[in-house]
Amino acid sequence: MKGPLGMLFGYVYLTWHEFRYLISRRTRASYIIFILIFGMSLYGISIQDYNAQSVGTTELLGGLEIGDGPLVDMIIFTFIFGMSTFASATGGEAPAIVIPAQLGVTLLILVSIFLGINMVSRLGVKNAASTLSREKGSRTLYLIASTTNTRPAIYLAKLKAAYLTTLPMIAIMFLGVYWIWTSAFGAPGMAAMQATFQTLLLNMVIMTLCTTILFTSLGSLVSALKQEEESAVSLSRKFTTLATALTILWVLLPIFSVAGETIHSWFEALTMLSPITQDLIVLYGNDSTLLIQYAGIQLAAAAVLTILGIIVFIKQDIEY
Amino acid sequence: MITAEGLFKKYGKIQALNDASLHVSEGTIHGLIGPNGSGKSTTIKILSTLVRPNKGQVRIGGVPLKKGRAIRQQIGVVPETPRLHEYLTAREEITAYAKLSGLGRAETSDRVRAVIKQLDLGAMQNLKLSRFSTGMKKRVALALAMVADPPVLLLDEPMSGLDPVVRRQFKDTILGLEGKTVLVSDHDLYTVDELCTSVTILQQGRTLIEDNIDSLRQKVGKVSVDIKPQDPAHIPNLAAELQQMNRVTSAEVEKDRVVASVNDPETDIPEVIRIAAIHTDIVEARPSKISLEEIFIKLASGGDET
Repeated sequence: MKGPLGMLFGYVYLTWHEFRYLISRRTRASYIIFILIFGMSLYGISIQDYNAQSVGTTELLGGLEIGDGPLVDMIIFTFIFGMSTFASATGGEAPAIVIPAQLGVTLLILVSIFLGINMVSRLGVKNAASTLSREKGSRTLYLIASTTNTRPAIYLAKLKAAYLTTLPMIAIMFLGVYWIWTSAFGAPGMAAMQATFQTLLLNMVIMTLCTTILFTSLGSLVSALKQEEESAVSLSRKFTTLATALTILWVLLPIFSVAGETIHSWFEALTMLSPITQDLIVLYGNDSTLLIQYAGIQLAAAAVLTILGIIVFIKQDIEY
Repeated sequence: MITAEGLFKKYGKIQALNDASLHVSEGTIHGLIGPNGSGKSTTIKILSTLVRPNKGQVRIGGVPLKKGRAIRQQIGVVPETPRLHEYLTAREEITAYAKLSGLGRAETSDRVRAVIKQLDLGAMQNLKLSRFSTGMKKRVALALAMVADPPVLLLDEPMSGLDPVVRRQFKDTILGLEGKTVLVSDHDLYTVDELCTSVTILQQGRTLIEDNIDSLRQKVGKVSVDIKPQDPAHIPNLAAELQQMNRVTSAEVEKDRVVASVNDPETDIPEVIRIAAIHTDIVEARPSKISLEEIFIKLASGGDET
C-alpha cells in the first residue's frame, strides 16, 4: 500500500504495536494494584450507613474563612457529631454513626476519586515517558524512524498508545463509582440526589480523561527530551508527585484556616495549578461552567505540550 | 540515484562532515570508505533521514531530503550494529517492520516469506532475537531493509563482526540484488573492493575523491606486474632499471620479486617484461591489480599525483 492509505495503516499499526508492548510488559501490575487500592477505598466508603440528612450550615463554624472546600463538610460533620453524641459517649454508650449522603459523596471525591485520578495520571505519564526514551536508550528508534512513518506520526502514535493504556483504569473508576452509588447511596430516600450523582459521574469521567491527556502529553514531552527511559520516567513521576502534593495542600487548607493560619490567596492559587485540584473543584462544585473552564485549560495545555514535543522530536538526531 | 552536495554536520564541537559530497548511479553498488571518524556513518544517517545535516543538499531518486517520508519510501537501512526488539522473534520483527512501512496484510505476508527465504532465516525465524548472534542480527537487519522492497539500500559496515561463512552469504546476497542501488560504507577496503564498482573516499569529513574503482586504479597506477628473477641478487639492479622506464610509475622490491606499476597494461606490461628479460633470467612474470587498500593509502597520503 502506498500513499495516504499506507501511511494510515503504518500509523495505526504503530499505535497498536506500542500499545501491545506497554500492556504486555509494564501495565498489568499497575492495573492489579489500582484495582486493589481503588477497590479498598470504595469498600471503606460502602460499608458506612448513609441517610439523606443535610450536613448542616457553616454557622456552626463561623470562624472558618474558607467555606467551599470539601474538607469543610467533614469538619462540620465531625463537629456536629461530636457535640451531639458527647453526652452519650461520656455516659459509656457507643454512639451510632449514620453519615449524611452529602458527606459520603465528599468522602468519595476526596478519597476514592482523588486516588483514582492520581493513579491513572501516574500510569499515563509513566507509560508516555517511556515510549521514545526507551527506544532511544536501546537504540531501536531508528527501526521506526526509518520506516515511512513521519516523526509527528511516530510521536502521536506513541502518545496515543500510552493514553489508551489508561482507559481500562478510567473504565474501572466509572464502574466502581457507579457501583458505590447503587450500593451505598441508592436508598429510596436519596432519590433526589440521582441527578446530582449522574452529573458527578459524567464530570468525573470527563475530568479524568482530560487530566490523563495532560499528564500523558507531559510524559511524551519528557520522553522526547530525555535519552534514557529511567531518567524520563523518574522526571515525569516528579510532576505527578508535585501535582498530588499541591492537591493535598488544597484539601487541607480549611484545617490550616481553623488552626488560625493565614491563607494567602496566592498560596491557594498555587494549589489550584495542579490539574488534580481542578478536577476535585469541578467534582465538588458539580458545576458545568467550571468543568468547561478547567477541561479547556487542561486540553489547551496538553495541546501546547504535544506540539512542543513534536518539534523537539523532529529536530532530534536519531542514533543507531 | 543518490546525490549529496556540500554536506556539513557538527556534533557539539566535532565536525563530522565538512563539505562532503556523494554521487551514486542507479543500479550500482557504491562504496563509501575512509578511516574511522571520517564521516561514513554520519553520511549514511543523513541519507536515512535519521540525522539532519547543518548544511547541504541531498536527493535520492530526485527527491530532496526535506521530503523525509518520500525518501524513506525509497530506502532500506542496515546499521553497523543492528539493535532489534529482542522480545520479538525474527519473523515478528520483520512482519512488524513491514506493517510499519505501510504494507497491507497480503503484501506483508508475501514479502516476509520472500526475505526470510532469500536471507536463509527460515530455521531461526521463530527464535527470540535475544538469542541471535551479531551475524544473525545483521541478517535480520538486512531482511528489515529489504522487506518493503525499496530501490535503494544503505548498508553501514555490513560485513563487520561476521564470520567467513556469513560474510560470504552476505556478499552473495548483496551482489545478487538486481536493479538495486546499494551504498556500502566500510573501512574494510577488501569488502568494498569485492562488492563495489565505484567508490567515494572520505577523509576528515571531506570527500577526497569519488570515481570508479577501475578509474582510480588507473590514476594511481592501474596495474602492476610482478617479476621474479631466477637470481635474487639481480633484484636491486632490476628494480633500478625498471624505475628508469617512462612507462613505469614505480618499481618496488618485495621479497624475491620486483613489483612495477604501469599505466596501460596492454602496451606497458609486455614492454616491462621485455626490458626485464634483457637484464636477467625471469622465473615468473604476473600482472596483478593494485588493491583498493593501496589506492586508498596512496590517495590519503596525497600520493595521487600519478
